[in-house]
Amino acid sequence: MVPMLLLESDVAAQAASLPGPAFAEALQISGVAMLAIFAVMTLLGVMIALLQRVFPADEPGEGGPQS
Amino acid sequence: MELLLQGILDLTPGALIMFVIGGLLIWLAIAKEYEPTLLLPIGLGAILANIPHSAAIGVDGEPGILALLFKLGIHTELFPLLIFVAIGAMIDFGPLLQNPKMLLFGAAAQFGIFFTFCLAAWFGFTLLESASIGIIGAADGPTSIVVANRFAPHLLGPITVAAYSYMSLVPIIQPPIIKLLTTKSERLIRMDNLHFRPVSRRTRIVFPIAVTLFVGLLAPSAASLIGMLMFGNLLRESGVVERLSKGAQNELANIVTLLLGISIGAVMQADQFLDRRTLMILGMGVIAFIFDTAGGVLCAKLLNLFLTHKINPMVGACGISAFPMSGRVVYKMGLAEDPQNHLLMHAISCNVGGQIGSVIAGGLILALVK
Repeated sequence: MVPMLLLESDVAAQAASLPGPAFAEALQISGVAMLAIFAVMTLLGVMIALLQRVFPADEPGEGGPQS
Repeated sequence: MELLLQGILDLTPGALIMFVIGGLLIWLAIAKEYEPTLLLPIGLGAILANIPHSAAIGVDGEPGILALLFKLGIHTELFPLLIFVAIGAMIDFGPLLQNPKMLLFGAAAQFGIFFTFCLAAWFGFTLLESASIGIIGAADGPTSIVVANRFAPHLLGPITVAAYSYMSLVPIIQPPIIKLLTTKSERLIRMDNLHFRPVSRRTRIVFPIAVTLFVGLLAPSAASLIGMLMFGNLLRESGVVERLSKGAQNELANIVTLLLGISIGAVMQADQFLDRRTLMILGMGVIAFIFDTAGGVLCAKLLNLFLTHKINPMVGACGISAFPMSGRVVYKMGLAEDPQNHLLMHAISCNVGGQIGSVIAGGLILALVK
C-alpha cells in the first residue's frame, strides 16, 4: 500500500510539473526546422528540375533505368 | 569453487531481465524476421553485455570487444556513416529524379520527428534528450545513432532498438493510420496521368555531387551524413567502379551492419536500459512513426485541394524514410483497393525523397539544438 501511495504521489508530482522546462524551446526549434526542411526540399526539387533541363535524356541509349 | 560460481552469484534481476529482452530480440529476428540483420546481433550483444564481469565489456579497466567496438565504431560515428555509403550504393534515385515533386512528402513525413521532440520535452526530458528521442521518427537507423550519440549517449540503447524495431514494423504501423486518414475514393485515385520524365546518365551522375554541395552548404552539420549517402550513390551511378559499388552494397553493408548491431548491445546494460524512461522512449517511438505517416498523408490531401491531377494520399505516407518497406506497403495497399492501380513508382520516388528528408532533418536538429 505504501509503495503504491509513493508511486501515485510521484506520478502526481510529475504531472504537476508538466510541461517540462524544455518544451517551449523544443516547440520553437521544431517550427523553424519544419520550415527549413520544406525550404531545402523545395530548392532541391528546383535543382533537380534544372538538372533535367541542362542534361536532357536525348542521347541514344539514355533515359532507361540504370544499373 | 567460489571463483567459478562468481558469475552466477553476482547475477542481478536486472541482468536476468536483459537476458530475456536479448532473447526476445533474437526471437523477433528469427521467428518474425523483423530486421533480422540488426535485431539478431543487438539481441546477442545485450546478453553478452549483461553477463556479470563480462570480458566483452571489460576486465580490470581494460575495455572488452563490445566496449572497443562501441568506442571505435559508434562513438566516432564511423559505423553509421559507413552504413550510409552502403545505403547510397543501394538506392536508385531515378524515380525521384523523374518526379521531383515527391520531395515535398519527404519533408512532410518528418513531422513525427518534431511532434515527438516536443512531446518528449513536454514529459520533462532535457532538450538534447528530446531531440534524440524525436529523431527515432527519422525512420533511419544511422541518423538516429549519430544524433543520439552526440546529444544523449546514455539513451542510445533504447533509441536504437526503437528505431530499428519500428522500421521493421512499418507494415503494421502505417496501414491503419493511412486508412484512418483517407476515404475509399481517395485511396482509389490513379496517378497514371503523372508521367515520369526520362533521366539522362549525366543527371544521375551530377545529382549526388550537386546534393552533397547543396545540402552541405545549407546545413553543414548534415554534410557527413549526406556526403556518405551521396558518395555511395556516385559509386553506383558513375558506372566505372562497379566493383566498389557492389562491394559497398554487399561486403561493406554486411560487415558494418554486423559490427554495428553487436556494438549497440554494449549500451544495453541493465543499469542503463531498465528504466521507466526506456518504456517512455519505446512508446514515443511509435508515436513518431504514426505522426510521420499522418504528416505525409495530410500533406498530399492538402496539395490535392489545389492540384488538377490529384495525388493518391497514400503515397504521401512513403515520405517516411523506411526504404523500401514503406513504398512496398503503399504499393500493396493500392493494389488491394484496385488491382489495376500501380502506385509503385510514385511510392518509391516518395520513399527515396524521404531518405534525403530524414538526413536533412537530422542535420538541422544537430545544427539547431544546443
